[in-house]
Amino acid sequence: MDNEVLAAIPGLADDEFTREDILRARDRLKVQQSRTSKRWLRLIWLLAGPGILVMLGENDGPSMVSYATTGATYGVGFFVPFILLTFVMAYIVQEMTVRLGVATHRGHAELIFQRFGRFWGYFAMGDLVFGNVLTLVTEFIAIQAGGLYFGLPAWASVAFGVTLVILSLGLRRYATWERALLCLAACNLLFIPAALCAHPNGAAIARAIATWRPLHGTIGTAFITLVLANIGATVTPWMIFFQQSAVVDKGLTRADLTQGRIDTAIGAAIAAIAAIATVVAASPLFRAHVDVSQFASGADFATALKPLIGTTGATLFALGIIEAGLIAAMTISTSSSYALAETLSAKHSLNLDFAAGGLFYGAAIISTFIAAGIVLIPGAPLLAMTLTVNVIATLLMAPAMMLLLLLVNDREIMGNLANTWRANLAGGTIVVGICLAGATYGVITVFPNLLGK
Amino acid sequence: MKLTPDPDLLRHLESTQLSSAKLRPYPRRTLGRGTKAVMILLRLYVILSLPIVAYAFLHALALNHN
Repeated sequence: MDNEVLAAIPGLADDEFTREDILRARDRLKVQQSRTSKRWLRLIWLLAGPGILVMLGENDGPSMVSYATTGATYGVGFFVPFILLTFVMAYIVQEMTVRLGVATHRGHAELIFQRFGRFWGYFAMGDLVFGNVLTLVTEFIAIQAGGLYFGLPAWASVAFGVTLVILSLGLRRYATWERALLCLAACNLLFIPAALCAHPNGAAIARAIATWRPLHGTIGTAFITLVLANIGATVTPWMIFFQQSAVVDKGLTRADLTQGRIDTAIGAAIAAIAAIATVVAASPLFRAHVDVSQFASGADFATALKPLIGTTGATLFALGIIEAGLIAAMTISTSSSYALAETLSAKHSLNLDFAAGGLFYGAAIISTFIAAGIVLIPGAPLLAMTLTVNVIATLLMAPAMMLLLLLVNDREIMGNLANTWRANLAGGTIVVGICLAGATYGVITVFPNLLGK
Repeated sequence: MKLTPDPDLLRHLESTQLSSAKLRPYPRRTLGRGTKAVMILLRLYVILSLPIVAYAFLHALALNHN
């Protein structure tokens, strides 16, 4: 047991312990009992959550549309191992946030403000809020699109989404909120039976992973755009802010680092399988030479797939798109709440009651209403917004990643959990890679005929 | 529901995990010139990139209208 605690607790008055402390202490008691009795599987079960949620949260509406477009445009080939690589990249980035969380017990936004000052803090927050509001809009586009497949009017699907987000916040208990979202996130696996309905060729998938081939067509503008969209579908700034804050809210300590890493790796593996399943499920559109460039949403993919993979497969696909939007709406709105409350030094925890966490819960609810309202504007350019959001997320990732690297190399706060040279090499490569990808996008946007179609 | 603090239970938290401990900020760190330069360059990269994204967005809208 931590000797500092034994010294610190008697010094505090009863009224200095909050509901947040008491609920977190209950969770820690269970963790310590499992560790003492060496029940390792239960320990992983208790400590898993932030990593799985962040990875499946990023398998969101626009991401699944990107993977479906990839499958419909290129079939099973180069992009299957490429998607696996992007999830390795996501693991490298998110593992750093776990270390930051367990070493400092502080959220990402408050660490940036405290260590680097307001100037850089407001820039980081500006990037996050901008990206999060736009992404949240696209999640409601996905929910609405999935609902359209089942004949639901847009307002009903959006109202359903908003209600679920608010109900999840009403749980006022981090552990319950996390388990509820994990149950919902399991529906991301619906893309696997949808892929099986497409009768995939296992040998072709294995060959693609081993050889990175075939790559149909030429390396033109469409190819570069899909490369960027797939990168933007796996690493974004909100993931950094969310996982670090969730690790802190859950109460993970240095002793739990291994389980935190396992949680993140499991999340990355499940999300990669679901992403590849989406590529495979959409690949019959490639074989049937269907032009997906005029598709407006995930619902169009489900409708087009119906004659190719059957009603069951198409229905699973549409349900998966709704789930992708719902889970991301919940995690992204919470990420905004954590960051905003940390910036304003307000209380920030899903263990707070409404009276103590007014700003925290209010930020999530208001951002949800704004995003839902934008989706319902008649004639809003929803498809263009969906595609643009992934690109913006990729561009904003470079400065966010730089701040993450600075913090995780800060030995004053990290101690022996600071980055090794290998982690810095991997992180630096990701920053350079993202900058080059963004620059390539800029060039092909300004000079669209440079690489051909 | 009001929860009553139980000292035995609260001993399972590390001292820095207590919500009262989190109110004490970490001291400010001084950034080196090189670090500042890289951060400013990345900021410029974002500022220069966003108009290109906005152009692409408006271009896609114009194509849809046509």
